[in-house]
Parts: sequence; structure tokens; C-alpha cells
Amino acid sequence: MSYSIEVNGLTVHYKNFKALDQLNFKLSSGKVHGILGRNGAGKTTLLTYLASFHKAKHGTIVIDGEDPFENERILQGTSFIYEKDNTYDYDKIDKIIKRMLYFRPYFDEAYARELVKRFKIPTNKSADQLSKGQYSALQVAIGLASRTPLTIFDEAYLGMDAPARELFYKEILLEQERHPRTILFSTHLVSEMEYLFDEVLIIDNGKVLLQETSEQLLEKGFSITGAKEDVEAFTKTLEVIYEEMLGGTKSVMVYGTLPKQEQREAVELDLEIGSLSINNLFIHLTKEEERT
Amino acid sequence: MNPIILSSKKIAGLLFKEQVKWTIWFLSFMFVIYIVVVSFASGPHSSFIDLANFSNGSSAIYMLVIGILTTSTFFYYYMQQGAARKNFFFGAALTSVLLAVVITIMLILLTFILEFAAGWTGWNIHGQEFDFTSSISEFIYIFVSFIIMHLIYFLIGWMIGLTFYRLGWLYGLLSIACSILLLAITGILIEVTHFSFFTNMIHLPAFIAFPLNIVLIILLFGVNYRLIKDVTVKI
Repeated sequence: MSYSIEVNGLTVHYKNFKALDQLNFKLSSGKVHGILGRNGAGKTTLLTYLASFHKAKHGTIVIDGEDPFENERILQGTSFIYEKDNTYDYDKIDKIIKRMLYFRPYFDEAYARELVKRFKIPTNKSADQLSKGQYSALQVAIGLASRTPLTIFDEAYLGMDAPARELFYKEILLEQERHPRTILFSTHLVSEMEYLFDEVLIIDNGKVLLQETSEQLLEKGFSITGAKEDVEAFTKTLEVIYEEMLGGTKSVMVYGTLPKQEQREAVELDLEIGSLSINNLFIHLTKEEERT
Repeated sequence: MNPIILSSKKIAGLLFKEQVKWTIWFLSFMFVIYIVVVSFASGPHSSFIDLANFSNGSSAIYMLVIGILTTSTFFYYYMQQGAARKNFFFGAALTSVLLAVVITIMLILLTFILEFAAGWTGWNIHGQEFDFTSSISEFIYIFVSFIIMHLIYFLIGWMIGLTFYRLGWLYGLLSIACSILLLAITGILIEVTHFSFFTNMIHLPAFIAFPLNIVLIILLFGVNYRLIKDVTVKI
């Protein structure tokens, strides 16, 4: 079971600062969505609205066909996992896991315990005794095992070491096979998790910069390398998002589709065409926005 | 469709279980401290045991603190678990009434135990400020008064916690000023309260005081509902 999301005209002001500006998008159900953006872009603000931690005053949010605010069914099916302070969480790990059975209808206790074990979280300790990374891993384990139709991870990996993050990413893929759900993944560490995303939504300065499936996005980014004059002539009409020079060789990154005809022309000019990663596109598209 | 797990009733059950646990700890500590104090006290002050003085107002302050923590601890926790605000409100409201009744029953039981123990050990404890053993009507009057006092203190604490949480420190401080006024009113309405500024000047008969108490309780529930119904959950 998974929820679809539709946001129309969502605008959020914090005094004079516009955190979100007329956001419009749809997120299909059962997919892993990467919500990307630089620091302060508005990712967390958006996610707190989707989790109904805020009431939308300007614009509408529809989750699984209904307004999620104070909606018992939607709230029960929504997990919001974010960085939390464990200083005052004195409960034993065992108790924390057991208690989730009261709250989440699809919670799989055995799976939660298995994840806790694989994340090497000591179950005889209380939550306040865990390191920051261990506490994050515990939240992630609970988030995965809750199997809520909408699961939101907002920079949930903070403090987790590389092996733990790797395990987390693998489990997301496995869980999507076993129990597909809508997963929103907010991050600015795009490079190490871009293979997880089915769809990508990039937010910049409170606005939707682009929304594409991963395949579509990867088809829209090219690197073109060759002699400086040839590259400049070839990319005159294209949207160049980044360029660098080394001697007489120039390499540019281009955003947009490159038709077959142009690809043939590039080959004739002895230009090398490569693909771009989502991370490269993210970095240079959000940089470009900054410049303009 | 799956049943709604975190209904008001369910939240009330979970909250009540947790808060009764806290209450048992609180009363146990208070009981031990009291026994130690009485054991070492001598002279006329050793005869200050009675239902109100036994807790010395601390049970009311305990309820105030639980009320304050209701937002920062319990509300925040249940929101993370996918509860609706209105379900939390009605769950916490039901718990507040139950807890007010339970803490009063526990206090009365402890007082009886103390009286029994005092008779057995020969302590001089016959200094009851409130007469609740002479007749059933007196007992009911004191019993209900204590329940109402505990409930009002809880609701005032809840209001303070919610105001700080929702509106920040300035309005939070204003809510404390407002609470002092409400406590003064409670002092007039309820004889057993320890925080009373005008008890000696104004004495209201029960048939006026009780309805006014109910009005105050409804008002506090209303204010708290208004504060919580669309409050932002802070992360």
C-alpha cells in the first residue's frame, strides 16, 4: 500500500522570508522520490507540511486523495524520520521497538529487531546512551519496519557511518521489492544515493526547479569534450550549465536533450559525449540558479 | 481499511498508564519524605498530618507540572507516532480527569494508612484541618474538592505548556500571569487549595462554588483545545 501526493500552490512565509513559493507537483505512489536541494532550499519545510506537522495556509496538499491535516487514516500511514536529539530519551531500545506495535498497523517487530542487530545497536542500552549515528540508525530501522504507505526520511542518515548508510540504502531497495510504499528521501548527499531514486524533485530557493524520473533526468544531461573552438561552436545553442578548460581542450556540461542528428554531428567533429550523474546535474543546476 | 490505532481512547489508555506510574513514584517519594519529617519533628509541629497538609500542596503542583509536560513530552511524542491533534486532546483530557480522581484516591488512602499507623505508634496527629471522616457528606465534599483542584491545576499547567509551545516565551509568560490569577480564583472557589489569596476575605457557599468550578474547567478545556487544534509540531 502506498500514497500518492499532490501539492498545489503551497506557499509558506516565515515573517518576511518566503520559505516555499507556489509549489506545484505530483508524486506518484509506490516510488522512491529524491527531494533534493541545497541547504535552506526548503526541503525540510516542505516535508513537515507533507507530514502534517504544519497546517497549510496557502495552497493545498492532497495525500491519497484526501487532505492529510488531522486526517487519522493518512497520519497513521505516514512516518516522518528526521534527526532527533536523544538526550532525554531514557527508554530502553527493546521498549521503544515493542511500543511501535501500538502505533503502526504494519509494523514488523521481527524485521525491526533484525535491522537493529545488523546496525549493531546495543539493545541493552537506553536511547540516551546511544551515539548520534546509532540513534539515527535506530530511527531508520523503525522507519523501515513501520512499513507506512508514506515514509519520509529527512536527512535521516546524519551521524551514520558509511557501512551503516550502505546497509540502509540496500534495505530501502529490498523493502521496495517486498512491500512497495511511497518513500520521500530528502538529501544533499546526492552522489551516494542517487541510484535509489525513481523520481527526482529539485527544490531551489523555495521553488520547484525540476521534476523528472531518474531516467528522464539522466537523458537530459551530457558532457561534451573536445577542441575549444569545436565545443564552443557546437554548444552555442545549448544550455551549458558548467564548463572547464585544460589547455586547448574544453569540457562542458549541457542540460537538455541531444537529438540523434546533433549526436552524429558531434561525432563528426570528434567531440566526446558522455552522460552526467544526477549529482552533477544537481550541483550545477542549483549553482546556475544562484548565478542568475 | 485498517482501524485507527491512535484513537482518543487508546491515547488516554497509554497516557494514563504512564502518568499513573509517575504518580506512584511521586507519592512514594512524598510518603517517605513525610515519614522522615514526622519522625524527626517534635512539639506542636508534629501534629500537622491531615489530608491537605499531608501533600502540603505538592500534589497540586505535581499536577501542574504534569500538565506543563503534557505538551513538550507527550504531545510531541504522539505526533511523531501519527496521532491526530484532536485525538490527543480528547485522550489527554480524559486522562487528566482520571488522574485527578486517582491521585485523590491515593492521597486519601495514604492519609488513612498514616492515621492508622499514627494510632498504632502513638503519634499525635489529630490536627485535621479538613474534616472528612465525620460524615459521608463531608467526605464527598472534600473528595470532590480535591478532584476539582487537581484537575484545575493540571489544566492550568497544560495551558502554560501549550502557550509556550505555540506562541513563544512572551505569551508564555503572559499565560503564567494569567495562571496566577486563575489560581487565585481557584483559591476562592476551593477551600482545600493551598494557594489562596482571598480565602479569609471571601467565602463562597458550595452551591455557588461548584458550578463556578465547572465553568472554570470548561473554560480551560476550551482554551487548551483552541491552542492545540492546529498547533505546529516543532522539530
